[in-house]
Amino acid sequence: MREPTLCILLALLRGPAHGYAVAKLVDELSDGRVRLTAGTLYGALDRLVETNLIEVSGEEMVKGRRRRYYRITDQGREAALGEVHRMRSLVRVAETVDPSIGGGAVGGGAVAR
Amino acid sequence: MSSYRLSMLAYPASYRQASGAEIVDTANELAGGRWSARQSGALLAEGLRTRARQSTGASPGQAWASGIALALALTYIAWFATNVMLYSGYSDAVPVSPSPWRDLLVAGLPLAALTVTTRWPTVLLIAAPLGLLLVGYRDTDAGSVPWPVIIVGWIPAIILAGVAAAVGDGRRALSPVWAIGILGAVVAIGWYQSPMAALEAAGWVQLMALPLVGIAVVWLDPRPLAAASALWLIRSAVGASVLLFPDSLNDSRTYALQLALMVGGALSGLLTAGWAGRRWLPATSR
Repeated sequence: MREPTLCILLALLRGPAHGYAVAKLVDELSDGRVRLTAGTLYGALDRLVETNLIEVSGEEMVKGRRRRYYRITDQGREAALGEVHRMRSLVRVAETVDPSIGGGAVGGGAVAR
Repeated sequence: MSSYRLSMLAYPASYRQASGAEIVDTANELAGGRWSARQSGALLAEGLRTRARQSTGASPGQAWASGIALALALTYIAWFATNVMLYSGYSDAVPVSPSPWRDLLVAGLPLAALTVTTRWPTVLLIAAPLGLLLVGYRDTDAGSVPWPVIIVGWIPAIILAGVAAAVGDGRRALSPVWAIGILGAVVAIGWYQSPMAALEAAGWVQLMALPLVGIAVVWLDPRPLAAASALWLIRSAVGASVLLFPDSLNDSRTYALQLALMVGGALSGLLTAGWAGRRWLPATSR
């Protein structure tokens, strides 16, 4: 799973959100590292809907414009947590190879705020 | 705002209608109300990807067929443009010998063509490398080909490209079995006769391809065009193999190597087209 995709799923774990809110949340969660463009964002959202990892939960009209809200599905939650678990195992492997990696990550303040 | 709307043209019309305004709004909000090249570029790229997903989304088999048909059509168009120049009385200016290589190279274009499978953008995509090709002739031959001839060479190429784009739009096209079968037949002729016989057979194959294009144009059916293009791919594969080993015409031992090269080249073209087709399929269809 690519990082932007995982970030979108993690953002939606907080609750349903529309496209712009998802992009802002991803920016916030990644400390500004993953800055989605509208093109990439909606492309990823479409693919996630196609693969049933998220679904459109509703629509609202803002200034005459349609805004869709997206919600993570159980399958999406499972996929996101599975990926996080995989990454955590990878970090453990890295720490075994070089113990300074783990200390650096914690000391560097990489823990989610 | 208007620049984003321009980039949105890369998306299929139906998608634009359903989601265009929302995406443009989000792009605007994300860029803080200013125009951003990054946002515009991403819209353009994602629009092309969306087109590819929509047009090849039916099944892997259809994507294969579509990719192959496009590849074959492109090789044919490249040949046609070259021949127009040859028969315009500038045969000295056109380097005839590398043409099979060039035709095989052009066969790699389905990768690009699959990303833009609507009609006129595809035409432009096909016409652009052809144009470069013709301008390349002008450069190599120190201006011996005047611009009017280059333009005349473009017109039929663009018309043919238009036909190819109009009919080869990802729905019905050539089955890979067809192309591989014809290729096998040419190889068999060469194997049991001689390399020269293979070349002669390839020449006949080329002649057979021409009326098929006519049929395709009249009926607007993708199959004759795809078949004609397949014939030309075979013709160029044979030509390329003979060019690489000219002595093999008199030496039956190197002919095996030549055949391997020819079949390998043609099959890798087909596989590339198939890979391209599958690469752009939505995950749900895999």
